[in-house]
Order: sequence, then C-alpha cells, then structure tokens
Amino acid sequence: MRAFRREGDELVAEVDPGEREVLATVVADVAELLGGGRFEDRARETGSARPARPADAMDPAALAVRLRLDPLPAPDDPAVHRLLPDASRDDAEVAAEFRRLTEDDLRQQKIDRLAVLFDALTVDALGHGAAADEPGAGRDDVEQPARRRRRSRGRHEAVAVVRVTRDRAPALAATLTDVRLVLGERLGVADEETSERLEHEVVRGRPSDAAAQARQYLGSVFLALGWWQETLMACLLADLPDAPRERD
Amino acid sequence: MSVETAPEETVHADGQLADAWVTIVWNDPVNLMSYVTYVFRSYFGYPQAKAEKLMLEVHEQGRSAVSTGNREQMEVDVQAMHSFGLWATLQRSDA
Repeated sequence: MRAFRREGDELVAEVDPGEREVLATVVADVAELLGGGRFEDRARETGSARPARPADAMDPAALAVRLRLDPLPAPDDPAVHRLLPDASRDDAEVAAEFRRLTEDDLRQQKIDRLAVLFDALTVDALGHGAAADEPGAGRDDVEQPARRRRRSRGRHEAVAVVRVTRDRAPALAATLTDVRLVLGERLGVADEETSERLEHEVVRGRPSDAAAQARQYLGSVFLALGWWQETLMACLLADLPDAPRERD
Repeated sequence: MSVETAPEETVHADGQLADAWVTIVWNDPVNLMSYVTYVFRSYFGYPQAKAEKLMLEVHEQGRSAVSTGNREQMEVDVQAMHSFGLWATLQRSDA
C-alpha cells in the first residue's frame, strides 16, 4: 500500500495484490453488514458492485422506504450502530424521529460509497493496472473480475492502481472511515488506551492461537487503513484554499 | 386577520432564538484528527484555525458544539456528520 499522491485532477495510490484482495473483502463485509448484499456476487454477475441502474423513483419499494412512517429500531450490531448512531443521547423522541427520517438514506449512501471503493479495488484497479495490458484481457474478462483473478496467476500478482477524482476523494475518505469504524469496533478499540494496546499487539504480538492470529491480522489492516487515510487527508487538506503551508 | 411572527423567529429579550439547537460532535478513538479537521473545514466552511480548535475540543474534552441553528438545520448537520462517520447529536442550546 503506497501513499496517495496528486496526479493532475486525480489522487492515485498503488495497492499490492494481497492487500487489494484483503481490502476488497473487508469493504464487501462492511457493505453486507449494512444490508447491501454480496458485492462479490454482484461484481461477478454484472462487472460492478454498483447496482445496474439507480433506484427508480417510481419503484414502489423505494417509495415506501422514502415515506417511512413507522419508527426504526436502532441497529443491534454495535458496529452498524456506530455507522448509524443515535442523534441524541438523552432524548429518545429526537433520536427516533431522526432515525426514521435519515437512516434509510444514510445506509444507502454508505453502501453506494463502499461499492465505488470495491470497484476501485477490483474492476477499475485491474483495468488501470498492469493486468489490462496483458494479452487476452478482453471485455468478457473485465466483466468477470473475480473469475479472472482466480484464473490467472499473472494478473493476480498485478499491483492495482486506485484512482479517484478530486471531487470523489472526500467520499473515499468517508468510506475508509466507515471501514475503520467497523474494524475498530470489532477489535474493541474504545479509547486511547485500547488503541495503543492494539498497536502494540500488531507490532510486537506473538499470537499463540488462530483467534489471536486473526486478531493481529485484522489489527494490521486497521492500522494500515489509518495510515492510508492519513496520506489521503494530507492531499485533501493541501487542496483547501487557506491550507497551512508545509514547512521546508 | 392578525400578523403573527413565525415561532422559530421569536426572539427573546436576551437576543437568543427561542428554538435554538446545537450540533455536538463526540470524540471517538478511530477518527483521524486530520479527517475531523477536514470535515469541519469542508462541510461547515470554517477556516483552518477554527476547524482545528473545534477538532482539539472534541479530542481533548470529549465533545464540541460545532454548529447552532433551529432543529431542522441541526438535523441536516447531524445527518452530514453521520455520513462522514463522525458521531454527532443535536440538543436544545443551553444558552
């Protein structure tokens, strides 16, 4: 995983093959937690994790969601609850009304952003990467990225290039935040102390069993994503009008 | 037919709006300081110094009031903060 850098109107970063697969999996998992279905399946079938067309305004199901009249309970899963938190700590009426009015939209927005990142890490990344230059990378292959990955070791090894236009970059930063919030919740990162302990575990830990190994692995993904997002934020902050000048 | 002042525009003697609400952003151990600053700058349009001050309040004091207005406006701001992955709540202003 390399730092984001500016290239004209785009922010660009390379991701190594192993990291790319792990990241895509984690992104798909978060989307599934939010009720976005299985990105891998949709990508395999249609060539994109994004739905084939935007939700039809006249679609009765979509309309019903928009005209939600009944209260929505807060999510049971603490990680989902962190992504869709209560809008009041002490006023249940305010929190319930806010959730009724906003949760469907927030949920869909987060799923859509995750789908864009999933595509950026799979279809789009391979399209821009070395894999696209290989002989036989035809249209059929582009539309079946998952199958292609399994079939070709050469392409599997390709470094992916994640590209995002400047106006899409804030959405990418928000999505990286959502993914890190879910990982942080799963890893029990509740305060500065648990955060530091996790860092220590990842760097120096000698996991004794499979569960500890899995935790260390997830922890390393969490920390790597934090670093990656920092490099993205450095680009975004530098683009703001009165950004602080970097010292020489 | 009498002319009435809209409730949200009723001004108290002390100059405060009658229906004054505030958006609070709460600290969490996952969000990056750079990201929180960026959100305050890009969404609210606050200058760097103000955005950093609010971010540090969140980080060091656990919370910061980042915007004020009527309830509908604060619901919009809270929804935006939740979209960015920040935990925000709205409440009546103490003032």
